[in-house]
Amino acid sequence: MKSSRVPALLAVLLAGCFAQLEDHSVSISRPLCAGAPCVPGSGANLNTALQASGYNTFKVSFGDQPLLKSSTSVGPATVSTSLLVNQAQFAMKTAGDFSAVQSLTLLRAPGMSTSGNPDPCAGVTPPCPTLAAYTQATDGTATQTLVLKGTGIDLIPLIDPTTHELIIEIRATGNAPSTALWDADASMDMALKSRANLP
Amino acid sequence: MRLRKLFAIVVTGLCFSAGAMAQTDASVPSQPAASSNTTAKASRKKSKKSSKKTARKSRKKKGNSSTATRKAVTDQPYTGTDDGEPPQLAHQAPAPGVRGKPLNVAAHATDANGVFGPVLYVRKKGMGPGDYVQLKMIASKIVPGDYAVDVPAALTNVEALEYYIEAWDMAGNGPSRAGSAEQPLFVSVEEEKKVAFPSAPTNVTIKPKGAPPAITHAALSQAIRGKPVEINARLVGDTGVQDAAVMFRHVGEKDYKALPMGNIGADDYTATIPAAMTTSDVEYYVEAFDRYGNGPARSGAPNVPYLLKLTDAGPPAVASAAAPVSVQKRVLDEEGANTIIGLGIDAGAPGGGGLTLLVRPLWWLRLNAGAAYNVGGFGFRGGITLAPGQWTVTPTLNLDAGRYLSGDVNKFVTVTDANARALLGKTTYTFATAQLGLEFGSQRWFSFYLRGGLTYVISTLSGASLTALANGNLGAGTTATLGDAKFSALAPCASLGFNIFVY
Repeated sequence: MKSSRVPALLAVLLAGCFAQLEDHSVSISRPLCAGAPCVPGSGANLNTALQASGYNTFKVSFGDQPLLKSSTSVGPATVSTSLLVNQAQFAMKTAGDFSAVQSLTLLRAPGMSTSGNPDPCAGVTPPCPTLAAYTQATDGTATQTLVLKGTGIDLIPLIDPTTHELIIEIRATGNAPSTALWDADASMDMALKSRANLP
Repeated sequence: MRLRKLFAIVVTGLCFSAGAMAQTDASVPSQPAASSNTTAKASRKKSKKSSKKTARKSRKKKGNSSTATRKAVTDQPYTGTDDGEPPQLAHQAPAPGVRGKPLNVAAHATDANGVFGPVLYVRKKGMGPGDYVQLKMIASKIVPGDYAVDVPAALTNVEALEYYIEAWDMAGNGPSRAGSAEQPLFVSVEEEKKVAFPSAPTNVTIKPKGAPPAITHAALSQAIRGKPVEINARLVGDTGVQDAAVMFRHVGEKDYKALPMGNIGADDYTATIPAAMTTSDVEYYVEAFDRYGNGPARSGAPNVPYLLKLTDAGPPAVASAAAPVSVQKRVLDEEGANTIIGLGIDAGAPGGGGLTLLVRPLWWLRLNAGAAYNVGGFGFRGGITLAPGQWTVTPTLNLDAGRYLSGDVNKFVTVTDANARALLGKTTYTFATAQLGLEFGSQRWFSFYLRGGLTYVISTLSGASLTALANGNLGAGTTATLGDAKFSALAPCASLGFNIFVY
């Protein structure tokens, strides 16, 4: 074998080398309310009630996780990571249910809602990306748990690289639960895949 | 008398008539001769003496044999019209003749009166005028006017011939000549050219490919009656071993029975004489061929077999004490060389080190199994090594797989997060390795090796540990739940070590 072929062969072998971490069951969860039930209900328009109360947005803090970067270099290797949304759900923590909810969508919002800007995703360009969605007509009537189908979007580029937070906005049609105040745990199931390849 | 005279007159008339008819037919030139012969026969009684006299006189006078011929002809009466012209004679010299072979000489002669002859006069080159031999040329039955004659083979054993041709017409005009007695034509006669057959191919001795195998056998001298007797031999051949057999017979028997020997690994072969056959002393020898049929190689021989004495008690099948010491030593050495069990020790990255038991069921195949250690923890592993040779430097292909049962990766990395340390402190993984290597030394005794290749590692990380790790970094109010994660990697690996075969 010619000496020039040896480095080439080694390069080919090394180019095929990798290290990979996969976890298809990553779930994060947080309640809509920090303490007591806080989201207005009473069968009112859900979207209006959410925006009026300011609970239409909430933050999910992923923390300073080492792999939560789209691409980073570790020595000669390049680490690429994806965090894909499989599904999301709201699990009722109080009395009442989601049977009057016609649709519900989770969007990645550019900021938290305020009294002056109750809908951060309204009129922004580009539009806020959809993370997951529920439609009663196709997904069936939800009761204590409302499951939203994931769109498969990768959350990594959506997470703020500084604060490691993801702001999520809830948009809904239909009516809120019948109870005056209600609370639910919002959660997202994701698939994590991180792979390091030699350049 | 009257009838006889009348008959003679009629016959003579018929003959003349036939001769006259023949003279007008140039296509049958021999007929004039025939008619003249017939005429000669008819008048032979009257003219015989005078013809001979005339011929003799003429030959003496001219010294030319052709004159005699002509006189014989001209003595015969010619009854046709005489054109007064000799025949037209054409001749083309023949190709050189071949000694000992007839030489064909041809000519073309025509004449309105018909042609007599022609006659070929031929002699050996350089001989005298009186030495010509005359040969009457024969008319062709195909081409009118063509005449030819073969000079007999007996006359062609010379270097050259001289000849000339004379021809007359039936009226006696002539001769027309091609050449003459004084200035003959010349034709060379050559040695027969040997047909150049291709020389016989050079005998090339094709050495049979391969050679009979070498047989090393410690002859058995004693065995227990009624017990099977195992006969072993080492058969080594560059071109393989085939039809290895133990040929045995009972003492006193004439014919040997063949007992095929089976390979039991490496170059070792064995055959077992069944217990039913060990009822009395046995004579045997071992023979084998190579795959090309070279052989047989023998240990012992049909006329000098080994004697295996069978006793009612005693050691089972002992080797002959009569074998020379050097032979015994060699046998023992080679038996020792047939080591099949050994130990291997190696170290490498990232696989760690290992202590393995080696077993070599085939000379080119080694199996290994043993313990593995990578500083982080212990595990087990096994694999195969293919060594396609038994050289001082032997390339190898090594395939291993194993599992580390426990491992603390924190020994290799610095991690401050307690949850991360907990995760890395319970690392188990399974690996598979493919390596190419070079082994230096004796494959049968001790060898040192270097290997390089790829290793595939797969590990499962505990979901609980990952959950703890994630929750430790999450913001307030958010909780994470992770399932077991799968870690896999394909990485280069290298190792070095040595093997010692001890048995």
